Amino acid sequence: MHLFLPIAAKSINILIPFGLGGLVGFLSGMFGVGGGFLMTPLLMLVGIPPTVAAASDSCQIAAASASGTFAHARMGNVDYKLGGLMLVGGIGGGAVGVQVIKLLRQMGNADFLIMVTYVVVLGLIGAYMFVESLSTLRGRVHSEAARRPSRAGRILAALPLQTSFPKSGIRHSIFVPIALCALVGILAAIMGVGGGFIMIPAMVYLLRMPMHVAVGTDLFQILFTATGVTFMQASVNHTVDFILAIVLGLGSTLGAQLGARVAKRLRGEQLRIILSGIVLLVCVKMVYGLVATPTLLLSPKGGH
Amino acid sequence: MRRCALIAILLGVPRVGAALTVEPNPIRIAATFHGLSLRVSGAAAPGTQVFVSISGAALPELFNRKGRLGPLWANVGSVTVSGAPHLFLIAGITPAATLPRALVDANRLDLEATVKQASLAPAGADDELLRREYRRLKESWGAYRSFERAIRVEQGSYRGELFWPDGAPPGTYRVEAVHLREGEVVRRETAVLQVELVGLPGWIAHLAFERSAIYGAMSVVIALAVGFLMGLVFKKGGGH
Repeated sequence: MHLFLPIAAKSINILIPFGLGGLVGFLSGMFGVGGGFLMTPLLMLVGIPPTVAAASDSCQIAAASASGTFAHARMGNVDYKLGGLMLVGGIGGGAVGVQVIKLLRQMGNADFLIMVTYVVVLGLIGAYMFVESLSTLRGRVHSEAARRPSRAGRILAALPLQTSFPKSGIRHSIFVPIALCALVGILAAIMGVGGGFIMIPAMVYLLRMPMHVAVGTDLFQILFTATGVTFMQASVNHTVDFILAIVLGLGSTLGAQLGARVAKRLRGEQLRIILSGIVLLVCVKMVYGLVATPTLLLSPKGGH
Repeated sequence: MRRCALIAILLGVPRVGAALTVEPNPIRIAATFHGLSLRVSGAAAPGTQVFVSISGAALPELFNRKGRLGPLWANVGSVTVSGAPHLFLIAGITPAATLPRALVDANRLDLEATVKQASLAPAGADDELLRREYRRLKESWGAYRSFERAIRVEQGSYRGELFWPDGAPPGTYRVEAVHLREGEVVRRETAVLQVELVGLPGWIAHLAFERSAIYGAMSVVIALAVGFLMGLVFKKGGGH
């Protein structure tokens, strides 16, 4: 059945956005990532204009993260205290990032710099996660050396306003999650997609949160940022296609529920190694996009 | 004679001297619209070659332009294309390639002639390459399309069909029929085609552009409601 999308100005078979939403929602529920990195290019591939794809995607991320947060909250995987602090840092960081990107664009070649930064960041995170989770799966991290606090850990422990986060089982200065999320927010704004792929590894490796709580808490804060972005995109840029977003949202919320259930059956290190595999695949795809001759030398301006 | 005219009307054959007609007009885009066949017809003297084109407004369009940076491909700047219609469909009795190039260019009888009229800013040495890329991009969207041998001229009239793409935005389009004989334009006629959103798409577009704050709030509320409702459905379904 075809539906006409009034803002995208395109007719589409309803099963296509439903299926795409389901796939991306599954990843979202499983790994706590928003899926913007995947959904926007997929929508563009089926002929949705980039600006509409990006904005409608933020609307479906709001729906999927609401569903995912609900599912994780029931399982006790959301650290609200930490999530609230992260939200403060993320919003501040995002605002700084938007200014940085403006500056980069004025300097020229911003898109190229963004793409290369993205590839490098994703490549490093993916490789680190892959090696670490593989080692954990092989049982190599239970040595005494691994249990000793690192130098970075000692520095973090010396910061003022230390507070405990019982849900995550960790203790940090309140400045740590705020600063971390501000940094991720800056990077996310510069790179033009949500920060899930950076945030989850940062929460697991730097804040030492359990993987499942990191996923639930990240979804909790994505819920707020995606809601804000959706409202701005719809009311200021008029680029949210409501019909597209609803169909994507139905698919993605269903997928998110399934993803959260599958995630619960897997161990943290298993989840991390799958996520690292996806991160590395995205990285390879981006490198290919940079090296391969494009089919067309022109593309509509806008979008991610 | 009167009987012949009656038969012609019953068969839907345009009378000699009948104006260029497009059907359906207006095109109404409702919820399940996914493109349609447009019928064009009018009167034509025997032996004439007829080309019918439909063009959208020639608004400036902004594009990213890819180029090489060492071994890598990246967006290296932007380019504004103006002077070319955002949509251009043309149907002819014969391929335009069989006509003198100057005649095709002067009367915009094919896609190549249409993109030749586009101006690029900033201008550069590779403007021809970018015009070709613009055309290829538009063709990939279905916004530029040529329908060869899609017009028939018989019994003092012409008729043909063009496919109207689903991605063409609402608005006013110009329809033009060019009549040729022995390499010369002998007649030119125009009509206006209206495209409008109706029903659910019309309501949503109105809300998005005229009541944008309400539209933004509605998008957020419904997205969250869908998410939480799906969560509830799964909870009731006996989830973990």
